[in-house]
Amino acid sequence: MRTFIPLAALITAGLLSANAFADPSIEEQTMKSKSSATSIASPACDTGDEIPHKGNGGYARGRNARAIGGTGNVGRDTGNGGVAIGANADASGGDSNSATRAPCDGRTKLGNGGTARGEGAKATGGSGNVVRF
Amino acid sequence: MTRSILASLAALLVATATFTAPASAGGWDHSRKASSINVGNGGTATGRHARADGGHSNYVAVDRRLGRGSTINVGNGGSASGRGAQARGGNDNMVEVNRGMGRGSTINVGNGGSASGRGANASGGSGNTVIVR
Repeated sequence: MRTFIPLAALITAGLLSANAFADPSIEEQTMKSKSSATSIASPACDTGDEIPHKGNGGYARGRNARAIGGTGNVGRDTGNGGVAIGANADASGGDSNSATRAPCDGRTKLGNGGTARGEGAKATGGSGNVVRF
Repeated sequence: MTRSILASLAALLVATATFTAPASAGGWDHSRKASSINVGNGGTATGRHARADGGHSNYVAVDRRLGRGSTINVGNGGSASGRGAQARGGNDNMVEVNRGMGRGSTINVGNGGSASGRGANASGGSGNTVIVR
C-alpha cells in the first residue's frame, strides 16, 4: 500500500501537468480571446447562423426575374443564386464572397448558381470567391 | 485497500483522458468526416439559350486534412437544357489542398457541365489549377 499511494500521486500530478501545459488549438485560442473580449462565447467553427442575411438569392418570378446571389459576403453559405422563373430569368451566384472559418457541418457553399427557368435563363456561377480554412 | 486504490486510480485515468481529449471545431472532425466545398459552380438553367456556366477566378485553400469521400467542386458548369443551351466550365480557378484528402475524395475544377438541346455546348474551362500536397 505504501508503494501505491506515492505512485498514484505521481501519475496524477503528471497527468494534470500535461493537461495544464497542453498546447491549445487555434480554435480554442480564438474562442478564448473572443469570450474574454465580449464575455459571450462564440463557436469555434462557422455554424452559418451568425449572419442573418447571408446574401443568397431568393425566389423571383416573371419576365427578367432575378434571384442572384450577393457580393462580398462572409460565411460558409453565402452568395448562392436562388430560383428565378420567367423570360431572361437570372439565378446566378454572387462574386467575391469568402469563408475563412471551418464549417461546423463540413459543408461550404459560395457563389454557386441556383435555378433559372425560361428563355434566356441564366444560372452561372460567381467569380472571385475565396475559401480558406 | 489496494483494490480500492487501484480502482480510484483507474477512474482518475479515465476522467483525465476524457478531459484532455483534443477539441475539434464545434464537434466536427474534418480529418475523419467527409467535407463538401462547392464554389462558383453553375446551377440549373432551363429554356432556349439557357446558360449554366461555371464562375472564374475562384480560390479554395484547405490547410487541414479532409476525411474520406470529401468533394471539392469549383467553377464547374451546371446543367443547361434547351436550344442553344450552354454549360461551360470556368477559367482560372484554383484549388490547393495542403494536407491531403482521404480515400475516395474528388476534386472537380472548371469542367463543362451538362447541356442538352439543339446547339448545346458543354465545354471545359481553361487556366484552372489544382495542387494537392
